Amino acid sequence: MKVLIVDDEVSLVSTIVERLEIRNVEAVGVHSGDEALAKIAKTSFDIIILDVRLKGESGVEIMKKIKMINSEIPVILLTGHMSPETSEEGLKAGAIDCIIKPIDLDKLIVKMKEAIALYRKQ
Amino acid sequence: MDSEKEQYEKLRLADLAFFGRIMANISHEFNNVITIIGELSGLLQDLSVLAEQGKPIKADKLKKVTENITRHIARGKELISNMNQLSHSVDEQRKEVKLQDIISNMKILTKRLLERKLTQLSWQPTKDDIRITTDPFAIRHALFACLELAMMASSSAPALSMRIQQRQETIDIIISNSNADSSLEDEKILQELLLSVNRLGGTVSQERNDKGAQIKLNIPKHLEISR
Repeated sequence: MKVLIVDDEVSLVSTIVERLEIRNVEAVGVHSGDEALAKIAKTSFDIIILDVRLKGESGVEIMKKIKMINSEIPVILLTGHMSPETSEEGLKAGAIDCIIKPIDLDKLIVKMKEAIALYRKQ
Repeated sequence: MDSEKEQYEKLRLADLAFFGRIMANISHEFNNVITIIGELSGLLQDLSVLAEQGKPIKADKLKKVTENITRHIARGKELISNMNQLSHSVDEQRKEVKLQDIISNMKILTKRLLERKLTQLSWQPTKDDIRITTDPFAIRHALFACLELAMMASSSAPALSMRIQQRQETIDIIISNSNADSSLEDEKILQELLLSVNRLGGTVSQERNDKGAQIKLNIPKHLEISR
């Protein structure tokens, strides 16, 4: 499994990447929507974990652009506070799930595996 | 012309909206701090599990992770302290304050909001303390409205700067946007700004030229009448 983590909190991204690698999950971290789009254009990922409140364009806007590049990649949105609007807007725009920070990493891995399996079935 | 009661109601709602926006922003940022500390402590747990399995933890790795935790605890403490200052600014409607402290407080509380709109804010603190007697909450609200208005004058990457100019009886707080491509015209925020400035016994003016857009708050050094 190869994961792209997108969040503008640098320490958060590097720590999640390190903890995923300890669990034998290949992970790459970036800190902006533009970096994410550049990475996706060059590298293939099985799944993307994308923060909703990015600097500049929102995570939902970036996800729409990701889907235009590759609609086959499942995206899980990451949010600090889940409002019904955030969740509805995210799912409508193509997210497979929305999860709330703080993260339970082992649960996240289960969710990522399920999402990838679901996308591969479709 | 609005009646006094209508003006009061507008002001009350605008104050609440300002406080709510700052609270929402800080709670998001504070949640990020907690999430980072949680992940870093999770990493320490992962490393200790690996150590139990025979892969020793390097001392410099431990040092780096714990330093990172300490840094984010300090970030969280700074957010709480600044939120607390804003909350207590409603305690007195007229108080002697250090203007630089108010600006620094608002700069920290709005940092994330500004960053989300890719805004750069430069602020050159003055050498000497500037002490004024004013409404501590209203001046914060006015500064926030000025920042929002100045930001809105750019379609992308606002470049804001803030400076203070002392006059005999008054103070100018000047907020400029050197990357402005439109006027400072948001009616709702302008209305909000006027209500706050009125409470401070001051005036507000704006200017748009080829160098950008500028808002100037002029407030008395000594507010005579409490609201």
